[in-house]
Amino acid sequence: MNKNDILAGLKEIITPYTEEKTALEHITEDTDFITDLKINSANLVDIVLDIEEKFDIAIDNDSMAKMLNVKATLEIIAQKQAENAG
Amino acid sequence: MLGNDVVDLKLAKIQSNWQRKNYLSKVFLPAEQQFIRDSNQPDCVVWLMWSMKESVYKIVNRNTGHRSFNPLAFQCSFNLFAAHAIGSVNYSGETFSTYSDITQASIHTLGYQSPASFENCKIIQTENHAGYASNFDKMYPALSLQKDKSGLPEIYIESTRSTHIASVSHHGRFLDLAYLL
Repeated sequence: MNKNDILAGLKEIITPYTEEKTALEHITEDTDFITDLKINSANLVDIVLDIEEKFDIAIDNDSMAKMLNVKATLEIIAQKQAENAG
Repeated sequence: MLGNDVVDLKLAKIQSNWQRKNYLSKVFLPAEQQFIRDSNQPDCVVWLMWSMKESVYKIVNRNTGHRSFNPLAFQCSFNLFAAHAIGSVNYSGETFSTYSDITQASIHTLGYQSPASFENCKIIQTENHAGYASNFDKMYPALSLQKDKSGLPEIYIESTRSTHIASVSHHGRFLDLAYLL
């Protein structure tokens, strides 16, 4: 899966948890879940669980701690997928 | 230092399903999950501990400038009464005190770190609106809600011309502001 596919999957996951539709439409690596997309922190847990299900990976606690923006999240998904493949 | 967090229980019910598989284990330590299972009001205990963790996260974040999403690093214990809870949260070896107000509609937690004490923290709960800062200033003309150089909230008290560290939390119908006297 390349980065664009992962980003498209992530965007789909995030959609129900944000009302900032313009920011979501223009999502980039620099988009922040809290400050830009105004996602409620309780829903960050849902996003992490959705990512685990969709990408078939397990996200440990230290990784979850970093998942406040798109860039860190894409990196973690790619890294966990690589670990699975290896 | 202080930090606060409010949960609109009506909105939380719609927004979040903590009964979802694996949800609790991402947020709560085994002992905390046991508190939830043992309680006859699990919803209340979930959002009580959530707001305790958030309020203390805000203190740590403000002290260090470091952001993270690591609810398991905050360990809650509390005594739950009819309409309030008195608790403590351990983070990285340091213990923070919390006081939570509990109603049918909301749970609000104030977290504070020594030398701040409950007595020198003031809490104001109002309705949450878009543009709440200007609305707040209209409702409380003696106070002015502003931001410091780093964009963090502070309260300016007109009568004493003094500036006070503040924490703002809004969720659903509620806006809660806490500041240090």
